[in-house]
Amino acid sequence: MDTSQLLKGVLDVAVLAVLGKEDGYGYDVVRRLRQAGLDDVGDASVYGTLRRLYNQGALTSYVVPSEEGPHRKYYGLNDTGRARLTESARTWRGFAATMTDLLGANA
Amino acid sequence: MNTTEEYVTELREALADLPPAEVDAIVEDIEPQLAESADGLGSPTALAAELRAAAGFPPAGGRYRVTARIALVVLVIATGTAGYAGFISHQLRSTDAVYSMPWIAVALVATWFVVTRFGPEVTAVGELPEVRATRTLLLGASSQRVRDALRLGELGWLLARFPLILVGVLMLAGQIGWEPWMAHVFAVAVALVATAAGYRSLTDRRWLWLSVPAGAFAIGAGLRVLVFVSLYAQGHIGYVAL
Repeated sequence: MDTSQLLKGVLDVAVLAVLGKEDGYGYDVVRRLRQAGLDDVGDASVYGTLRRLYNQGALTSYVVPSEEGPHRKYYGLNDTGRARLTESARTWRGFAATMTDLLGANA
Repeated sequence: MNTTEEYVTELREALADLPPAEVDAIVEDIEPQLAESADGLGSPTALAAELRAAAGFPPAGGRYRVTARIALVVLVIATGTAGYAGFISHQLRSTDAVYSMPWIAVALVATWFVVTRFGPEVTAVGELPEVRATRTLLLGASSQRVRDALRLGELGWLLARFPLILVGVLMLAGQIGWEPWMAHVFAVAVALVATAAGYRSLTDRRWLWLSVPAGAFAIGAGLRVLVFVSLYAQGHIGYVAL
């Protein structure tokens, strides 16, 4: 099954989860998602998701100068973002359990 | 491979319809990755399209089409109205003029609205299919040299129309019964504003909404002057009710 289709629905949660562990700048979030095993995640989709979450008021941002190159804009969860992560995690666990049950019976 | 600077420029172009602060934020987000390696990002256009979808922004050229079209209609109406106003500027009290004045006022307000309130939508006007088609029709195969010449012509026209706007506004102000010095000061002010708007429109296309109608006003006033001159030359001027 094409995981990129599945990713579309859960990229928000994935980005929130990564930022829930530790604040990060755009490219950093991309790499951490890949390291976690989401190989198919598109760079642009991550940047777009960060902007959407930020515009929705779920993230804070601050700039950190970098010695090697351009400064980095870090994103982190605020209270809204944390509440949303908790809520999304609960929804995801319920959904995943349902799917596992369903597949367990047939596969 | 593009340089980082070229990449950012193209990306900004592909996102030009979004609020400038949002575009700045996106570029800021992407720059650290660009500095390392742009390989994962793909072309600026592809990046912009995928980013729009994920961020919930409208696809390129979609959302602003309606406002862009309104802006275009306002420009056409304002230009027509201003041209007509220039042509009748010597007979403000005539029935024609009395009926057309409210329209001129509406056109002016609409124009002002476009200049002050519309931002990126104005860039979107250039992307409207009808504007594209007209541009291709008029400029399609023309070389860079022709375009440069047109640019120069635009500057020349800014200077040439100055006296015409002056005369047109003087004729208008004379009808209202202002003191001559007031009429002159007002006319010079209007002509200066129109020229400044024209000059700014060379870089900020929003000012076209003031500059193009001003140009039409100048042409209208110029035609009226021509009518006077030809009547005078034919010795008919005595019959014309000024």
